[in-house]
Amino acid sequence: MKKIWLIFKYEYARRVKTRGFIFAVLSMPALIILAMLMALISVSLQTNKLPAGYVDLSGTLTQPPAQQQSFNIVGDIDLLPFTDVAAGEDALAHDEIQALFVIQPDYLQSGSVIAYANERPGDNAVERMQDFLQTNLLAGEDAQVQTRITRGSNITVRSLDGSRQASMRDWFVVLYPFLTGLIFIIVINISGGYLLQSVVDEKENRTMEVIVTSVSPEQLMTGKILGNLSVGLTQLLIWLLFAAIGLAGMQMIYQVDFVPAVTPDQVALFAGLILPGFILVAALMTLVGVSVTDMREAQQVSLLFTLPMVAPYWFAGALLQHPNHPLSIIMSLFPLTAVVSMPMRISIASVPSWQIIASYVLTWLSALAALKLAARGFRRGMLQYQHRIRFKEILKGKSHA
Amino acid sequence: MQVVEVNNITKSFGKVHAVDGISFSVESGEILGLIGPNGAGKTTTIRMLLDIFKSDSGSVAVLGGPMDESKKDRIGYLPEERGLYQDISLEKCLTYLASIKGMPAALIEERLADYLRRFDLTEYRKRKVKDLSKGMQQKAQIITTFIHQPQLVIVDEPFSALDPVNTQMVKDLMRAEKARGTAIIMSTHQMNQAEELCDRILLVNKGRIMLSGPIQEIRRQFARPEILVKSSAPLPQDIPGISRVESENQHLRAYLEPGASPQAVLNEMVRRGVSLDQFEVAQPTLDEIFIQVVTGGGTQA
Repeated sequence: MKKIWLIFKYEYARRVKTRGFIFAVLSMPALIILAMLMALISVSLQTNKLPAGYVDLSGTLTQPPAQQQSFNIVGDIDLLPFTDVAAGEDALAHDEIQALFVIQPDYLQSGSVIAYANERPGDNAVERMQDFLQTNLLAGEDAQVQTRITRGSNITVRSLDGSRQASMRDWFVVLYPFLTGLIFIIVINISGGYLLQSVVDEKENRTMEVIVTSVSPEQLMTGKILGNLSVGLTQLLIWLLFAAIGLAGMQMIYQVDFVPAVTPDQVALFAGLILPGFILVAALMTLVGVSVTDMREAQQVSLLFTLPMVAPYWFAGALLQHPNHPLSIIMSLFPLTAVVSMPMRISIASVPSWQIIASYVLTWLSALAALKLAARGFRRGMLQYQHRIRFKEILKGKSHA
Repeated sequence: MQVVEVNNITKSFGKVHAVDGISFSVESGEILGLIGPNGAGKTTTIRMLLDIFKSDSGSVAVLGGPMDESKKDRIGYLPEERGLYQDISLEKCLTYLASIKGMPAALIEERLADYLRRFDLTEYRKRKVKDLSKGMQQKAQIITTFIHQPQLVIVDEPFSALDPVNTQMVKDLMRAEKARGTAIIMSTHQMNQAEELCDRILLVNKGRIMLSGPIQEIRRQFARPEILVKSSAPLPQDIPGISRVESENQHLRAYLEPGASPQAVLNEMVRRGVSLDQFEVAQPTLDEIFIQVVTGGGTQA
């Protein structure tokens, strides 16, 4: 165990201390910060800090407009009432207001409002006016009715047996399968790339022959897998941290609740699919690393299982439209595609429990089988410098070790 | 104490019999030379000793029994091709390789400082391994082999890329380890090094032992009926037992008649008052024995 820990520490430290890793880790937050800056610039370009004015020719606006909030990054503004159009036009001419909204006498019948402005009014002014009109139209209604009409309904989709449900407003539930799948693919590609590089390098520079006289091939393989997976997870963790900061920023800008809630189902998906998915791909990467003779060949061979992982995204339309179609079921049971497919299906359909359990079991069994195969291949291939070993040899158990 | 005992091991790769019934043993405080041409089966034999390969048949006992993980910390191995991490500093590389041999950090620090000083590598300890010369890398590899003071050391071409000064340094280290009781198996093509360092040799060819035993005994066994004589005066032509004499660079080579004794020839020369500066029974070098055995099929000692 101590030797696995030493290998783990070494593999982890040698990766996270490289310039490449630091650059990769910081590139994502830099992109997020850039995106936030662009959002801020975009919002500021679409808003105008000047108040807007209005003249009510219809006589329907009985409620006074609410005052703007003390701090609002979007640029909320005051609405100033004018008794006649001439006074409003005068204020507009003197740049005291950005626009003058004239509510026409037949507003209730036609909904007609004419806006006078020297240039296109800011989105904030238009939205502010729409809200003000809506509030006045609903002035006589019960407060709860007002809230329902302005905020809309909360539709929950529930399966017939009542076992699964999701609110249409819960954006995280809808996005979760896509996000987990995407994160899985990103992390496994980063970690798998490091792992592949580590195995191929040690084989190429003959270090492996020295290492296996100190530790067993299984210890070496386990330490490498854990170390390199942790590198990917560290990268992910840092990104998530920055993403959380980014979401908080977005929440402040757009005043929308972005904070997701994690459910037990999502935790089960992680333990049942994503974790064994990591192990499965890591073991396969190791197997490829020891089977081939150089990095270029390793990358080509590894496409055989990295491509199936992203296949569910190619079929995303079909999966979401027909979640219980045989193709969808097969993809959610096949270990390499299950990690992405099953969460997609679960998020939009009632998936029979046996399929979920079968998917978990199959992925775990595949992961363990791949580990065993990788251990066998590791012993067989670690000292094969000149030519690659054939998969058949590993399967048949032809081992010199 | 017997450190290694190999009994009739075989190993095939497909139709190729890499090792075909090799047996030998190594005692503590002994240096065994494993010599043979390329592809003779030396590396495969070493890998079976280290449990990297499993033998198809036969048995290998190391440090008192079958090889297992617990014994790896008591074995040092220097492969023919250097196996060091290239992209990290020399110090980090050596520290890591020592740590997986089970050495505590404080001991690694202490011994590493000593070895780096002895091998003139102290000032290079922060350099990346790939930036070091081949000789320096070889010295680094030798440090990883000996730093944990193993009971069994297996070295494959230890003097590769080393200059005479460093070669001598490594020889001194090996002798010191031998004196400490370490059993050493040295695989090499450099016969002069084997002659100088090894107590016994094992000449392997085509997976089989062609020759084994103490070097002097083998040389005697291969001794030819010739004597080398250095004399200030020409040799008399009629000395009994000598069939002919040839002049070489610094000496005369006298070929003995079948059954003639070098001692009797010497006695006759002394009796006749021949002035002798040198009288030596010509023994073949290990190089000559190697070539003779490998090309002509030598005898099994």
